[in-house]
Amino acid sequence: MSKDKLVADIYCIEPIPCNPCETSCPFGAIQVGDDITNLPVVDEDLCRGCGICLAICPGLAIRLIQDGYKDGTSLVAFPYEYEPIPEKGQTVRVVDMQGNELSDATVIKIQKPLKDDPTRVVYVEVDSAVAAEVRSMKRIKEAAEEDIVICRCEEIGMKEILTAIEKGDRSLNAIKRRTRAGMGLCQGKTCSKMISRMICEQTGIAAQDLEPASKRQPVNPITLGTMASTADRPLILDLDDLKRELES
Amino acid sequence: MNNSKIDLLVVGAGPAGLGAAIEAAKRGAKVLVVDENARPGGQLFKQIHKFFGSKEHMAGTRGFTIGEKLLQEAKEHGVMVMLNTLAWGIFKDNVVVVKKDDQSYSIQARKVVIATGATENGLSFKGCTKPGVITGGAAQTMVNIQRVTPGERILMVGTGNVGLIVSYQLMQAGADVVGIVEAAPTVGGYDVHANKVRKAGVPIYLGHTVVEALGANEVSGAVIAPVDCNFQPKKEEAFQVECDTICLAVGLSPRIDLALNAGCEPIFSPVLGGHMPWHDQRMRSLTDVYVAGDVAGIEEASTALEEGKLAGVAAADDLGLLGSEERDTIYQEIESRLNKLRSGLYGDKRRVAKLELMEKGCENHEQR
Repeated sequence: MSKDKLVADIYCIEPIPCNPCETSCPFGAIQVGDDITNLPVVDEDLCRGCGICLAICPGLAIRLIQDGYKDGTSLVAFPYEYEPIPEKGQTVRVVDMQGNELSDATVIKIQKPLKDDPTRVVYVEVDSAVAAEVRSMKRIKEAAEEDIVICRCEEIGMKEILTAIEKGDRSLNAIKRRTRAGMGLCQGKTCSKMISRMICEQTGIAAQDLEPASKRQPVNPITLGTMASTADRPLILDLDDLKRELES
Repeated sequence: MNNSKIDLLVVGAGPAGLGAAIEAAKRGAKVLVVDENARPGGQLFKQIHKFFGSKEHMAGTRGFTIGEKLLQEAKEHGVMVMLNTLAWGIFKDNVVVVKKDDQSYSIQARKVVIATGATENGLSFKGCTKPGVITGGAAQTMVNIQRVTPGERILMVGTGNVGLIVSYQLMQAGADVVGIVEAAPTVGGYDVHANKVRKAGVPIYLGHTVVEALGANEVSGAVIAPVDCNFQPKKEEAFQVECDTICLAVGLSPRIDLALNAGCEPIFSPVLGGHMPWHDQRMRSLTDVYVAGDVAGIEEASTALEEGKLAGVAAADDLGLLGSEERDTIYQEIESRLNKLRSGLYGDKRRVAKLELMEKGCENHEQR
């Protein structure tokens, strides 16, 4: 069935009690009826292809399609809720219902049809031969550039520290409070100097003008039980008392 | 209020701590030394090389022998040494809380010497958390104490004395050192130490840094690159070396956590390793608290020992245990030994930095 204008194509297949597609459509183009488990029906004459129903459908079961977008291509739109969002002009891989890659497609535009909802609708130009099968696109995964670990105990990377400096942190304590770098088992023994150097490099502050991070007790990690155990003992004022306490 | 019968509590049984303990105990002080390690001596027992200095500094003696002598002396003078004991806090009126076997003990002493030493600096680069990236001190502990080599082909980073000595000792233990990387344009440590590894054919890459540890699950190589004038790697000139261990010997920082909690004032000196507690010429940092050794500025073991002795004598003096005749000579003797250790091309910088530090602190103290 050829669509010569952009219209909603609903592939809602279950009698789920649900009708936001009907109520959200500004043109009254979708019918569900009083029994909200009914499957929706699109009136293609009324549909303007605005994409609102794509963004509101909780099942992500609606797409837009226009055949003959250009010579031999179709325009298909689908909701997309992953980060990062593709960019206009980017080549993506479109997929069918099973996630099988069908072909390359070019992103024509990205819309956010609902004002208060982040769901994007991605419009792609795709070979008409596969357009009928297109349901979504292969998720884009940024080739995550391996970050360099600065604080090993809390696993804080260089990027996070640089971001903290960019946001205005100018001391080890500020960075510690924002990122937790230096709050782990070693209490900053490994990372403090590296972070100091980064602050100096990024801001031009001289190393001697940086205060050391606050050092708190216990200076090494111990259990609360160990800490509390001193309460059961007298204050030791004599080496013989100490020996006695150690033996008991 | 302080009615303690413990005259001196020393935190750290390295050369500085033992030196302080011995000197105070010699003069009749009741002394307790606590150390978190299983054996005393600090780093001395992994120092299998002979020390520099003169006869009065036990020069020509290997570090671990000096350690044994110090322990023997401490024992002779009745010093109590508590091992596996972590001093985790210091509170009002010289109350030090220590942990042994998961139990805490609050101990009050009339005077406290903080000789907590140093921690090794880290260096971050791509892949630096992979197994096979270790510090120089860790490598030295492995070969000289635990008698295992960390790897077969080692890339050392840093040409300070630690990097040079540990490279040499790794080879003595049977490993190969594939190279030593140094960001600065010159070797940081003594040339005689550098020559020990040069004679073994180890290349020293001056003006280079390590930019990546290679390997899927563990180190199988390293990417090193020359650095520009801002010490940023020139990636286009990077090259690979094959190795299974990357050893970081990039300096030490005074371990100041306990000292700062005691209330000592942090002072900064790049020559001496960063922030350290201010102290006067007799190692006094607060009325009843002394600091000595690497915690009071990174130097080396012989200096740490002398600083410890100075702190021990000063503590004995402040406790009223020093005879007036001795007072006239003992400080000068120690000072003269310290000055000898802080002389020459390398030592002079430290001597000047140490003087500046004490003066800077004085100004700050007066401002308060």
